[in-house]
Amino acid sequence: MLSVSGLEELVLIVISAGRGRAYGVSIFDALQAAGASSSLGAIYATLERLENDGLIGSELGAPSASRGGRRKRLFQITTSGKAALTQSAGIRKRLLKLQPRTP
Amino acid sequence: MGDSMDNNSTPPRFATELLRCCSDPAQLEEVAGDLFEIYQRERLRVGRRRAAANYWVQVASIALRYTLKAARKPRSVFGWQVYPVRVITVALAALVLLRSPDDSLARYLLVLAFLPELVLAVTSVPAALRRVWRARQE
Repeated sequence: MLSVSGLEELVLIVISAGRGRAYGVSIFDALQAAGASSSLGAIYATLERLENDGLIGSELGAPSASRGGRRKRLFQITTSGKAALTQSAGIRKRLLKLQPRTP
Repeated sequence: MGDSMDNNSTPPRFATELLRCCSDPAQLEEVAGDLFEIYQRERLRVGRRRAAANYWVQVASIALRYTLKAARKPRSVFGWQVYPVRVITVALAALVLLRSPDDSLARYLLVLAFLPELVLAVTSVPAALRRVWRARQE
């Protein structure tokens, strides 16, 4: 199974929450709102990697005036993407258990 | 940024041209649309100047990414698979070897940094020669 790291995991979480309606700007905004701001260039690179690995899928939406008549690419998480996200969350949980407890 | 003076709602034209030149044509529509949407929103929120500055920063980051990606792709030159980034790296390593003083630690460190690329470049020569040999025989 493919593992995800860093920005890939954050982008996967945003796409999973977007339920098929996540696109470049909404991912950029969600990351910025969560305090994990990143450039659009880095986000596109991450999206391309995730799509090449089969963790996400995409389709072009309808053109809109707010985008100067251009279409947006809508992303959705695949079954492999969900599995990678679950695996990543599991690793994080297990590692957090190693933290010493404060008295 | 003064290139957008003719129409305040239009993103900086030169930046858009740069994006068109450097980005993947297959992804241009969605990337340009995303940037346009962010520009319009920022223009109303923080003003045209800051929105234009932000637009330039985003375009530069995207253009840099596509340029680096293109540099990593092999190109066919007279039947040889040439990796532009490898050629640049080997040229830089050669320049460092020739220009730095003999006892310079920087020289060894830089050559060490370039070593993986140098090894890849040297080891790719026999394969390239085999391709040329096969092409000649055909």
